[in-house]
Amino acid sequence: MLQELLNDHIMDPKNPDKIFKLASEYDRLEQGAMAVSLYLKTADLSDNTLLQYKSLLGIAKCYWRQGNRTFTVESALLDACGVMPELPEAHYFLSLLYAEQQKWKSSYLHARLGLRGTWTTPDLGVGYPGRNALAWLEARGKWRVAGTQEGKHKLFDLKFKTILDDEHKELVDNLLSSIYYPDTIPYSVLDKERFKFPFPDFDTIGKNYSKHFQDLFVLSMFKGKTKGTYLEIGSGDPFIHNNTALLEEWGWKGISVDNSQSLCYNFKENRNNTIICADATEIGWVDLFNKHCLDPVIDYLQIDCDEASLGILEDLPLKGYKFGVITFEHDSYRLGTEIRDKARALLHNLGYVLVVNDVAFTEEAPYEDWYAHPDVVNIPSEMETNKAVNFVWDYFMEPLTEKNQRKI
Amino acid sequence: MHDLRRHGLVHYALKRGGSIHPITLPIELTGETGIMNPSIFVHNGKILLNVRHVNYTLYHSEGKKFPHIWGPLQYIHPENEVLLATHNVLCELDSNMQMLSAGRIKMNLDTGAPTWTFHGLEDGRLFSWDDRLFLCGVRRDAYDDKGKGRMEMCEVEFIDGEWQEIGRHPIPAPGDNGSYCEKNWMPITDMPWHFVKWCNPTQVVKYDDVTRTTETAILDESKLYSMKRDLRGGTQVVPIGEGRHLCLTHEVDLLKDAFGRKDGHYNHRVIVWDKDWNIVHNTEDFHFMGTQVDPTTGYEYNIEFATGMAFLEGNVLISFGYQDNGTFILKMPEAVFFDFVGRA
Repeated sequence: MLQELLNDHIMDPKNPDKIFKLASEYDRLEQGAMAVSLYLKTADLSDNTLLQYKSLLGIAKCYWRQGNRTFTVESALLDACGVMPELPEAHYFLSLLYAEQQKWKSSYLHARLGLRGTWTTPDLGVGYPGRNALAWLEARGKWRVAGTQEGKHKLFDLKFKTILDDEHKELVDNLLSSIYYPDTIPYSVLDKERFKFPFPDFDTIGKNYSKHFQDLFVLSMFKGKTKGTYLEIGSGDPFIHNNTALLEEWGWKGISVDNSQSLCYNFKENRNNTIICADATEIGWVDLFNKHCLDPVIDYLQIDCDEASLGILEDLPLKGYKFGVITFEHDSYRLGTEIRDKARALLHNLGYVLVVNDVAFTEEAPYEDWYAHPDVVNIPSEMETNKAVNFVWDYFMEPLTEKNQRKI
Repeated sequence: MHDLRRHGLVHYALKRGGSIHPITLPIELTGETGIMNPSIFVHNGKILLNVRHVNYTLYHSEGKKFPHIWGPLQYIHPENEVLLATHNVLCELDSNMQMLSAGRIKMNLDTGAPTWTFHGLEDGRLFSWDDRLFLCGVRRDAYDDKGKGRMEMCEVEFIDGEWQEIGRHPIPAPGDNGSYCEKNWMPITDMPWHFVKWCNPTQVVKYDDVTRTTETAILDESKLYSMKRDLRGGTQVVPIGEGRHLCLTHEVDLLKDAFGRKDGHYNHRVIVWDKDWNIVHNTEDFHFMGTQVDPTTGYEYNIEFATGMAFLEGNVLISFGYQDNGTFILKMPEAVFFDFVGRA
């Protein structure tokens, strides 16, 4: 084969297609140096940009195999990008090269540029593994550039919303295992088809605000009820990670409590419902309920006060008031099960049903229990679960399939 | 003959019954870096080929469209290794130029630490004198820390299943031995211990291995022929009958690109001497595998180097390196070759 291709080249020495074939054969035979010379000759002689592009990729590949020639690999790949910037392969290899050098901004940039390409070319036989790989490099680059949630979200989306090949699945899994999932696992309208518990007008929701779907849990339990009521203890920011912002958009009224003056001020500025700035452990709840003339049935109670959650629950006038849904933070993943178990006993005795036990923000980090009172709300059977730990994404989303995955 | 200028000697030869033979070496021997400047020699009926293996891969954008970030002609060695290392791989070929065996020559006499960044015996020409097989090239890692180079004869023998260096003969320059670098001396295969040190004017020197001195045997500075460029050493110098000798020499155009970065072009030429070492014929300059021409300047850009030739069974075998990265053997019927020499 080599002999034949060499003869073809010799007899037609300025024909770039023949030189390229000879170069490819040398390349295949692991004769990288000679392949480099011939690829370069092809690129220099040809006016066909795709042939030039493939030749320059070949040069990069040969030098890459030889090892420790990064400036040269980079040079050839940059040339390839310059010839056909709309193709992904050169961007992919540049992104990979920069990642090896821990030049994360450059790696991220070329992953982004590679993903922007809209051309579909046949496999050029240069070892480009496809858009999964670019998406992985983009996500890792984003994470390594800044170490922010945005990078984690990209990685999370790759893991849970896209079907990856085994290699990139493992890479994503390993990185996420070391840096943990993002603080928030939000709902996006792009996830609509996979959401297990839709309700009337669910389609109108573009996004939610809760950290882990608490707001959508409430609306699902109440089948999209409008004008409900709530008591939100430990409200935090009026929108970020907030469990009642979406409810307010659905016409719900309620009282929120937080002890941060700055968050309360922000809340007052930006939300219509009531915020009380106080330490929830020092509030006289009966007086407060009376003062605000709360009905004896309140649709939703949130208690999200870390170690103080149990004490606050015990202080509430639970015998005089019923709550349709309760989301209770016990942080058993870090505080152990005592708080969780005491709260369970207390609420069980009052007739509450533990609908979702050990709600977790990873597959193994439970931090909340979600209850409902059957006197107030009809508990949909499909929302009950018997798993030991309920990772929120798996709880709310149908399994990933070819059909429902997000295309990269 | 226009084909010769346009497409090179290999094209010319193939159209006239010649053949070209690519030489490849296993990745375990080379790591895929350059194999170049091969020297072919027929020794006791065996076709032997010494191949220079280097630790770099030449990047040469002949057409200048895609120069390296450092320029169109760059030696790309490992970025953490600022040395130019040469190993010699000795191969045996069959009559079809197919590889029978290949192994790196074990340089038993490499004892001291290299004194300069060019390591190893470079561009060795293979030949035998008095039935002793030698590889003679330039060594620059043994004399000082500034790159002083001297020709060295490395005697090799196949021992215990591998090619081994059994003797080393550094050759001083004639006269006061004060020159910086001696290279590309061409061994005269039928005149033991004699080399053509320079072609134009022709200087033949003789090395005395007993006194370890070198003396000029032939030199008539009045016999300076008009040539485009200096003629630098190439292949061995081989007898062609009636006391005549023949070799291939090389010539270099050192060029610059638009930004003053180095570039280069190599040509070759066949030289014929009579029995008194007068140059009685020289061909036009030529290249082997074709080149690229700058349409605005006419400059050509190609790097090739022929360092071996032998006559065998009615053919001439010329071994040459291409772009420092590849190794080839051109086989031409003798009649075609001499017709070419006579015409060119």
